[in-house]
Amino acid sequence: MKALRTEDMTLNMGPHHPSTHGVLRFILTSDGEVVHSCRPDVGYLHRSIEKIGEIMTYIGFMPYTDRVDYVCAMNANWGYALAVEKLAKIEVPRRAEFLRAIVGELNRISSHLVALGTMAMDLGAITPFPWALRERERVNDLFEEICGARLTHNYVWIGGVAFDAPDGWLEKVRRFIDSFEKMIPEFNRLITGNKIFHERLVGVGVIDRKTALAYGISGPNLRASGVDWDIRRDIPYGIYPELAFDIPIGGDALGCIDDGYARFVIRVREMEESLKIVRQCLDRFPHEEKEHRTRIRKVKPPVGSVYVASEAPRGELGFFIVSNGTEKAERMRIRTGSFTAMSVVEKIAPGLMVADLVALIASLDVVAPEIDR
Amino acid sequence: MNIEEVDSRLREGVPGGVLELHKGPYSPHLVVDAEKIREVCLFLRDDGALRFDYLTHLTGLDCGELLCTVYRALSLLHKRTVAMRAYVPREDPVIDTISDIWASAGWFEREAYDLLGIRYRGHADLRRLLLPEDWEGHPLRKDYVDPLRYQDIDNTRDYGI
Repeated sequence: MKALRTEDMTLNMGPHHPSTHGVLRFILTSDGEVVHSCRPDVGYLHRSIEKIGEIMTYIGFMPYTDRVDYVCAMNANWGYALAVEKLAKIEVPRRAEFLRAIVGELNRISSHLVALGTMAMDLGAITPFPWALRERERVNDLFEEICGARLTHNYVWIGGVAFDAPDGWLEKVRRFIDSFEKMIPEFNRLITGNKIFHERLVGVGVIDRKTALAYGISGPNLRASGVDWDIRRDIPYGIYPELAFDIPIGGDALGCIDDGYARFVIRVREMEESLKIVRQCLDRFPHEEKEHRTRIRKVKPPVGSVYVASEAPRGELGFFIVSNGTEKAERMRIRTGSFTAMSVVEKIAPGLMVADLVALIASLDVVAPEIDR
Repeated sequence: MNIEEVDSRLREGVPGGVLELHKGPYSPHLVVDAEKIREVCLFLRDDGALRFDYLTHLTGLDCGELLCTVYRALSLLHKRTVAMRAYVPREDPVIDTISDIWASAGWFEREAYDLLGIRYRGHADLRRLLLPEDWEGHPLRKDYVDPLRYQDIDNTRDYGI
């Protein structure tokens, strides 16, 4: 019998995605259900944030960092503040460092909740998504109370934080982490151990260590490939050197490595570690120190440049700023985790089923505005 | 190993590769001969004492007469980073690609080409990344002027003031 002749078909996936990753588009060629090539087409959410960084003053640029990745605006604020503080040599009061660590880790939890919920939803499990979002709403409530905004916080400012914690806020945070700690096993019972979920993710979208390093994958995606690297520990900033926490990596301890499932489980484990960090911050909170911000009227760093990396929920968030000695930057470069995560799709996709491509993209937790900036 | 030691190791491994060790006012970096960028990067990645196995980021800068590509590599093994710059003339901004040395450079170079117009020789797929393919100019250049129209869409706004 003669082999059946088949033809490649070019498929357009997007430019929207039936989930909450932002606007994505892929140009696929496939033979039946098998993907032959996949070209991500990005740029739909390009808002010229790097160019705006050259037009705005250093202080005025802070709200734009919210929009780099609106799922974890606190971490983006923080990363930018770190870079400018290093460039302009601005001190941060200790109280502010604690508040930054608390909101940063709470935002990591809420960002991972979105990631995990949408990951499950992309694979057809609808229930975990509202469960995850319900918990995220509680984090948003805490953020709203401290800074007035639920999504684009503009809370971490250059030289400290915008507002001190209102009365009773720290107790509310403690109540939240106490109850959320009990939610994680429940979330695991709901989806992590689910058989269908396993079959959709285990062994799917495998990114080995070598590929992950070559493509500059960062954050939980890199750690899922068995690379023991976390900027909070390895290039520490803030008060992280004083805190004790584990860094879950793919491999023996998790029982899964490289695949989509490892990337899922890593994020569940990271939420537990974030809880640990928040708890330590609450226990050691410097109540005696009252200052939460170094008052600055103007940020005018000397001529120079700086690159500061921070560990955002989606990986390395780095700000590369070149100063020309004025109040505006000469160049404002933002390196994000989703950018490199998206570039690896081109490499991993060939040979996957179309449905597994969705699983791959979901498990990488890409957020489109962070790719395009 | 600090940047001086990386510098001297590189000078042994790739003679003429490093033009200058810049110590200020910008953050410390090596100024690399643009013609030898591939040799330098290969040596950084493969030399046993260096092992820079991860390209943190790559971007472009407009420095007036020159355009510059900024590289930052990381060695996870030794927990150290190195920053490099390679300058090319503005009239003919061409430099060899390193996208086959660190695959992440593939998209970074496309972005730098898109926004600054630096061309990476030997890049397998050097297309614009963020802007539409028929966009004119490179917006992160300092002399860039916003177009008034794009595909018959008016880019100006009449605010009546």
